[in-house]
Amino acid sequence: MIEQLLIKGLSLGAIYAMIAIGFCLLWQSSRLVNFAEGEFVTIPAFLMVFFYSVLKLPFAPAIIAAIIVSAFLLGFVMKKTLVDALIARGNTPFVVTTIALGFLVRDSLTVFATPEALHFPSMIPQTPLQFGGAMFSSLDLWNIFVAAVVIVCLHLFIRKTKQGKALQAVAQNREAAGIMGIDVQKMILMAFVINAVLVAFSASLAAPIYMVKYDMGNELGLKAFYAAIIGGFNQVKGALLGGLLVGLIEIFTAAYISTQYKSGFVLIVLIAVILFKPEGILGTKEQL
Amino acid sequence: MLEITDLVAGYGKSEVLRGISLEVKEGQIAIIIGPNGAGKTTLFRTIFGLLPTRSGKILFENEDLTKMSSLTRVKKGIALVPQGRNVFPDLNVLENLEMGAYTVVADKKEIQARMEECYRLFPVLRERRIQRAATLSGGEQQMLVIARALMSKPRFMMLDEPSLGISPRLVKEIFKTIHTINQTTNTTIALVEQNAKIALKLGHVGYVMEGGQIKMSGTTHDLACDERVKHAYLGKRE
Ligand SMILES: Nc1ncnc2c1ncn2[C@@H]1O[C@H](COP(=O)(O)OP(=O)(O)OP(=O)(O)O)[C@@H](O)[C@H]1O
Ligand SMILES: [Mg+2]
Repeated sequence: MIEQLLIKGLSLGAIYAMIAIGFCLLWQSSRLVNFAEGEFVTIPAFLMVFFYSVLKLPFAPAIIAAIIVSAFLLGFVMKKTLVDALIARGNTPFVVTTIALGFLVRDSLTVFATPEALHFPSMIPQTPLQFGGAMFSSLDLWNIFVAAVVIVCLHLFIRKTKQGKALQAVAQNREAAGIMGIDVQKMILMAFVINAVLVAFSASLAAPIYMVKYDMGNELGLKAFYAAIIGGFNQVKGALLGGLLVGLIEIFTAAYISTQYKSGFVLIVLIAVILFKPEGILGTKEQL
Repeated sequence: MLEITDLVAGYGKSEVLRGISLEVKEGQIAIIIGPNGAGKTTLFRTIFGLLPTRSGKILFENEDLTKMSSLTRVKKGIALVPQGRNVFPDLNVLENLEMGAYTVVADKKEIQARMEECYRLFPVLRERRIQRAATLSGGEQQMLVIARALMSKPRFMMLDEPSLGISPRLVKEIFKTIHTINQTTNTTIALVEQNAKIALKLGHVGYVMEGGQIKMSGTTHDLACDERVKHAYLGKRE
């Protein structure tokens, strides 16, 4: 029982974690909080349905195409338009604008696509697997596996490559990074593209579970936001931990207390963190 | 090497630099002293291109820099050691140094060779090389920031108050190293310093900056003997 819940919780947490990590990278590099992050998951999910069910691409190419288009739209175009227009004015105008962008995306999808929930198949067949005494869903193991691969690749990129280190440098001390001749705007662009890829992967895992719907991002965006705060907004490892924790809390609350309390429990943890360690479990204090 | 004429720059509506002219010859160490808020940091930021030039000229080896980005200026051989301990706190010493060479060299061997030079100048950095920069002492962080600037092999280096908040013993050591850098690599240096007494001993030429203008200039020897400078900047120590 415990093992089963653990896997289920980690599987859900893996989806949250990828979104939360993207969120953190954006904040670290650009000092902007993206309140349309939930819709940033919805858009690639719709793109997947579009490529797969409408254009009838085979399954894997449909997902890859959605990831590429998402990287272009939510990464490149987003940076060159909204971010470039607003970044000099600080975070607040960006927050307001992205809240509006979220509405715009949801309403446009209802009007121009569909208000219905759409089905999207999972990458692997859903079969129960038995290990010892416990039963696991193949889907849950797959989610954990995909997220782990994506996050390890990201980690290696950030830690080991020159570009990745430059991204860290910008996150840690923007002024000094500029003095090294590092192109800060280019690094912010990179963060937006990485975020777009992360949310697209997350969408590919979330779509079979949640169904693809115009408002699927509400819940996901909110949970990822909580995860980032709980784990620590300024640390990628914090967002990872936060995401997994939120997933675990939800699943265990649903199993032992009640499904209705699962979001409530996450909020309690969130409030506790804000009260006792406002910078997040793994976060560090920032001197602004 | 560096020739500035009638430089005007500032933030928003306020004009901080109000017509600065100065010159630093190749191989020299120029000292800039002046009270808080005189615009010394602003001057360095403008020379480096972090702040736009409103009018006037900045000639570096007879080439006008004013329209160039900071990145281009780095590539031309200019480096800035900013005021305060501007390390990358969560990168280790090695990675901090790597970032100093980021835009200038790609060759791993060359980067390694430059690091060795930095370690020779600041042996303590070698011992600390896999430590996060945030765990270094204030003095060590200042050394790291200077070493990081050296990684681009600048021909002209600006240092903004490297002695700020550092123990007197370390200040002496850092000043000695700056002298060594100037002597051994023929790097031209501009140094902003509150600690006028030792700075004037180190440099060749000096400028006194007040209210965004150059109030006095001359060889450091002449400045150190000047009554007004003695009174305003060396006063309490004499
Ligand atoms: N980012 C900024 N925005 C607006 N005004 C600024 C900014 N930075 C500095 N100033 C103003 O510009 C003037 C000169 O500041 P600057 O930092 O260049 O002086 P300084 O000579 O380096 O002083 P200190 O010895 O304290 O370092 C000051 O009046 C300061 O208030
Ligand atoms: Mg200053």
